[in-house]
Amino acid sequence: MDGKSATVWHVAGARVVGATHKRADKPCQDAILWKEGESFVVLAVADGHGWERSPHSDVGARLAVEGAVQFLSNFRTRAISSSSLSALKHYAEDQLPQALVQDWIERVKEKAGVSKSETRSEKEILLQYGSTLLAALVTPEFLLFAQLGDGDILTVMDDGTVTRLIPKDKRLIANETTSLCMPYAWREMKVVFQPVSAELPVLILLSTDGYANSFASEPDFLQVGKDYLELIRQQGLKQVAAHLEQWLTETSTCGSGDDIAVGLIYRDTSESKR
Amino acid sequence: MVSAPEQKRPRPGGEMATRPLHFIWIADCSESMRHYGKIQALNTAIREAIPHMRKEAQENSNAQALVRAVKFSSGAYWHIAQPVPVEQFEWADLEAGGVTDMGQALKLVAEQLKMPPMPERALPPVLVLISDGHPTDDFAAGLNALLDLPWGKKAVRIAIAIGGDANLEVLRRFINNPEPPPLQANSPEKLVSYIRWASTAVLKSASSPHSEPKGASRGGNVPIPTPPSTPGGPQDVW
Repeated sequence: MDGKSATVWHVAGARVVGATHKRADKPCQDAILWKEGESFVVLAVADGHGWERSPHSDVGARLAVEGAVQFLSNFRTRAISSSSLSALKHYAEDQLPQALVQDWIERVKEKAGVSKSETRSEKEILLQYGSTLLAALVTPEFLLFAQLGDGDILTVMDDGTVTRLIPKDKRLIANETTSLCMPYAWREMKVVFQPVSAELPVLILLSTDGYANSFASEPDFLQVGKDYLELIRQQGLKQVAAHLEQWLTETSTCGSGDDIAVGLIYRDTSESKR
Repeated sequence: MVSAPEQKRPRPGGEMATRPLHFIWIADCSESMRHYGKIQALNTAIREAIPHMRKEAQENSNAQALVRAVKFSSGAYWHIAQPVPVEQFEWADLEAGGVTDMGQALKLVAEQLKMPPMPERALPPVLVLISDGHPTDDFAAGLNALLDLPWGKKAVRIAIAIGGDANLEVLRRFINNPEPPPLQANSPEKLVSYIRWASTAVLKSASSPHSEPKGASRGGNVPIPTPPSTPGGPQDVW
């Protein structure tokens, strides 16, 4: 794989403190981070749990996105030297979840100052930093998505068709989520590896659950995919990015009241045709 | 040169909505509730709690509190069947008479906690069971119907025992968590205090959009605030 392609992907995103957290004077528990490499983009969002037993979940969410962006950037480097997409797919589906979760655990332990004489149980420490994680790696050869916990990954096709890439986990209602801090958390991570085919999405959206929970129904939420695509096509990604915080704040205020993080990966077809 | 004011761009997405929070009173209206002014005290306590409940709901404006009530005696019925936004909620007095078909009441509630009509995006519902006696029907069947449902398991379940004859074991089974234990109301004042606590502090706690790891809860999935302390005394009449 030479990693060269005419397709150009750009990223934008934002996070906002939810209306409920503003009223309670609490910090934003959501995190977002992305990296635009020479021939790839990687984006991650995370939602710290924010309940009483996870007092450092804002930090846990930040560590989650930092770890995922670094890890997936390295994975991209590894992919360049690999000759086999099926080997990459195999690794992504079988080993990546455990590696990503372990990376987060190590970061948390370092942050928490865990020493050999530690008296707190690892389980309790991890719970204090508990967070979800959603990540996407887009390269000229493949798209890779990973999700652990609630939140949404949407893909939008050229004709505006919106698809929820990873189906909702029906077990999760009433604020319950799978999490990086759970025992054997990697078993709960969903991974989708898609070799680049003729039909690529033109827009990929990653969001924490405060976003979908702000809409009256599933179709009302899925509408965001088509709307963002139209807005980006009309005004450009930079203009959309400039308004993202305002929109998300309005959405939280009129909707769930929860923190919201949203990341957008846009395939710029105008540049690719040059 | 004065630049034109920037036009507000349309916000992406369809209709927005706050998250529904269903609050259900489950009230014992058996014959024994006629004695010693219990049913009047319950009517008064709920009516007095409504303004406080509205105020709490206003301060948690991202949760849409929807209130209704089930009554049980000889059979169980919806006393207020449609979920009413707390801002418009008015209490209609209950009357007592008959036996204590608590199991049927729980079955009625369970029907409404299925998906649908309950939406996935709802906040955990709050169920407040108030009783002064012993179930006369198949309580276990009603409880199982409730706890077999995802929303039944996730509901915040509060139980208030009116007087010393209430079956605390049954109320504990309804709560199905170590905390909070059934609240013992042996006087109208204590009943007012517990009803107000359930209508405000518990409502507030259930309104929070926090998340938590699957299986990590020690009890319910909503942290229950500490109930008001009401030591026994000469005012105890039930």
